[in-house]
Amino acid sequence: MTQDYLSVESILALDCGSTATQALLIDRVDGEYRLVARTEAPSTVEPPWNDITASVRQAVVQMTEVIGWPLLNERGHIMSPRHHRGGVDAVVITTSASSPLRLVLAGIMRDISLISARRALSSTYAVVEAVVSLDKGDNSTHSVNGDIQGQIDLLHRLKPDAIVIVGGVDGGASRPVLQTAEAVAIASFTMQQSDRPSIIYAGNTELRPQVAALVGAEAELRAVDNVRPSVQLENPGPLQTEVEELCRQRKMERLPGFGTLSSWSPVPVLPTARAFAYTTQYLAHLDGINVLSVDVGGATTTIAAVIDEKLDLAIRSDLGLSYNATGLLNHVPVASISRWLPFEMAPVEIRNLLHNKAMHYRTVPQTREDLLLEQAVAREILRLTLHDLMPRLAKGPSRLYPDLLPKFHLIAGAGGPVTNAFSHGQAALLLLDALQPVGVTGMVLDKLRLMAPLAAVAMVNPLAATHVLERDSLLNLGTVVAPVGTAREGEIALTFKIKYEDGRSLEVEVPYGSLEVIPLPTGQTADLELRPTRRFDVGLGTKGLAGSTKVEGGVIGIIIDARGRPLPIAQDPAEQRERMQRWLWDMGS
Amino acid sequence: MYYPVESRIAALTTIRRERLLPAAGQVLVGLGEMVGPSDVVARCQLPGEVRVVDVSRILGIPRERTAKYMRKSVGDTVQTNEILAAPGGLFGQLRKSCRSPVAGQIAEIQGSLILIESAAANFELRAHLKGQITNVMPNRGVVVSAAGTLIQGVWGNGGEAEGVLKMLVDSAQKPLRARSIDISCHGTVVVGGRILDEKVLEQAVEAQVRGLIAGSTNADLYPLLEALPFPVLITEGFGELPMSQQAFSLLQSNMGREAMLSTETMTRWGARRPEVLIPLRADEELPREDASIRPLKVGDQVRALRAPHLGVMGAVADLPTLPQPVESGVRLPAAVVQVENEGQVLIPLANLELIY
Repeated sequence: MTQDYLSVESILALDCGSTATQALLIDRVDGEYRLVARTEAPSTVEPPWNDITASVRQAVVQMTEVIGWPLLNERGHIMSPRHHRGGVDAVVITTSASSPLRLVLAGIMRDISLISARRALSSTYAVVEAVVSLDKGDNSTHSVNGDIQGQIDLLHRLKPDAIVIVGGVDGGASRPVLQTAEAVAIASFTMQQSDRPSIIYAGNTELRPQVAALVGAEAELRAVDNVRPSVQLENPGPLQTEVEELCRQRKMERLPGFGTLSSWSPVPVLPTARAFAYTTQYLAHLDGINVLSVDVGGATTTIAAVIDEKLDLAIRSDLGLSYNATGLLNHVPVASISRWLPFEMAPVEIRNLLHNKAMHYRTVPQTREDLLLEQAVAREILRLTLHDLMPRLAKGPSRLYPDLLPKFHLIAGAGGPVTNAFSHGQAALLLLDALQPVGVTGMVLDKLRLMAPLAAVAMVNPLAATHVLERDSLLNLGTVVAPVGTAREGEIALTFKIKYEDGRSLEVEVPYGSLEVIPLPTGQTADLELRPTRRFDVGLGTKGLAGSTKVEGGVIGIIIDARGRPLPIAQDPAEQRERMQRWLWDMGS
Repeated sequence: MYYPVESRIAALTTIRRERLLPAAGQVLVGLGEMVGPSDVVARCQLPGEVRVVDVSRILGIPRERTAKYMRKSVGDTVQTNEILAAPGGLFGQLRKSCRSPVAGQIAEIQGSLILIESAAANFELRAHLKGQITNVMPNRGVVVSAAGTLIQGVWGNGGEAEGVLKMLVDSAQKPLRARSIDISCHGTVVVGGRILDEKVLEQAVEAQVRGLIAGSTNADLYPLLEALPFPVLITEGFGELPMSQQAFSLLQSNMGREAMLSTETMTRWGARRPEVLIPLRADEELPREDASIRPLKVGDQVRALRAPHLGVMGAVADLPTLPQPVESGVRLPAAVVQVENEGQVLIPLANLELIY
């Protein structure tokens, strides 16, 4: 950065989401950067507005009313840099308002390179709408095998933005890859020039010239390094970068009003999920810890995990809680949603509610039933997204049990269903049920949706981003202790002793199946001694092994989640409803 | 200051509808011309279907040897069943030949594959609305304008239709019954309060109705509704909701008139609402139907989009400055809405749509 960032004192961060746009003003107060004001307006990407900047202006006008000085000039543009009449020193922007890139994936074998490609693409704003492969391992509607006529029909029906061709290790057999590329080239040739998808080749690197010759000048070919250069090695980076770039060009930059919006900022507009991941990385780097951040958005759900400084990102552009609300029904039965409800709700009623939500995607729950239903949906959305991420997470010492979440020191929750819960306990329970952390983990909420915008703020003033992240951003819920193991309901899972700063102490036996909350206010710490019984591990890798740790308080305090891992779900729906009600009560909700 | 989503339920307004061709073509009507809903206003040609013929597989010969058996070249026109490739010579004629599955033109020959593009299909664009041509976009389409009733719905199964409006219920609450759909419904757009079961849909197919309008339906019927051969418009949403009294009364007062139904629905990325249009005579200049794009204010007519007041209509009585606690316990920016027979209720701003 060539600019002296300290001269950038006031920063307007704009986060343009799929359902809402928020404006954040960061300024210097008593030598520190603080969040001064935050306003929000519904998104205006769709008709009758067709202009992303309309909602920005609405949010900025509201902000002017709050702060008392103008930010827009007479032509409706943000004044920057700041001068005596108003404005701000810099504007930064994040967005997730564009539609995802629609892809068809073509390869040879479903179980090798196609899997690597799917993994690579799962961290981008892309949706794989169909898979074309030479083998016949899948009979799903949107998939075909080597049949060219089938591929032509598929492409004409789906009209994808791009086709990703993968297959073959570097230096490996050429014929199947070229056969795949030839079929794709022929199929795309049959499409109207305006509908013709870009072709991204991420297969056997040595075959690039032949693939280029097959594709010819009829379609745009983008060749990147092999996503699976050898059987043992996966190389997702180049494919991810190319798809992200295509997504930026084809989707983000074509948002109505994007040109004006981006002209207000001295730095590039960041995709929200990527920005969210950057802040997660920063949090992990700051204290040298493992961090898991989750964001259930309107159209997209994002999970960013940093383990031993390695970032893994999962983005589900087909799962969200606004116009993608019915997307979940394509993946799980309604019973998977209703198991998280403390009351009975007919499957058709759940489907009705989700369809209505998808149509009126800006709406918010007004009744307790609606609120808990959205939280139930969020649990399943997070579980599915986590399921995508799990195979990619490092298999190091943090991963105590292969089927359970690795040990994270901190979990950050973001997104409407998490941060708009009725109580902090409700939000914490949602995260506990969906993610099922193990051992001792801190929990925070990104209550004001600052995590993604702060990554953009860091591009113009890293100090401002750090100050706001530390002082205004994350709401500390407290610490959760989740022993791994199972036992009979009511059997003692662990005994813990808590020693407060003032010298008081408390010893409690926690039965299996229960959730205990011990208050420990924000800003206070306590020494925790954990003595699990022989069937339980408190995150030390060995069952029955005792340990002690210093924990931080929060608005909830310390949560002992002795419900077991994996979390047991009662087979009988009535019993499960009772459990859910008890868990909500235990969490004070 | 809150800009709500908007919905139109208007007894008499100016309706302007753009009618666009899917590809460049020819506009057949002139500015100022009066058109009926089924009049063709423009036409174009759509590219034909592409079929692939694998000569190597059909003739049972290696790919590299197929070139010498080709009887056609790129650009040649072919008829259905015409020979595309065949071995020559005495023995060759006894063997299987490779024939075209469609009539069309050879678009490409790649190795042993022949791509045939079938003949282009004619596409005719109908006016869909009884009115006047008020704009002509050369090669692309027209704008048809009319005075009339406009009711926007929330969901439709796609497609368009025109037909005489036929009310099958006398109250907005009453569901459609299969037994009330008889032969007299043939060719009409039928209206009911709710659609509760598939028998209604089966009977509507049997009676060959032109279209169906209802206040609500169940999400379980979603796949069936999508597969129906006629358009369906839902005015309120999914669940057991009556049609709004305003929409129902308008439809009732227009019973026997011709209605135009457009039911394509997109919630994102080019949002589109389904709608019913009923052209009427207007003796005076009417306001345009364009969206108002203005903040919500006291006195505005609104409809609730979510429980516990889903479907309820009323007038904004107050707009509190601070977020208000609602039934869930959460504090949200909200409006106080005066509802007939219910008094004043608090509804989150995000759950309101402006009716105008």
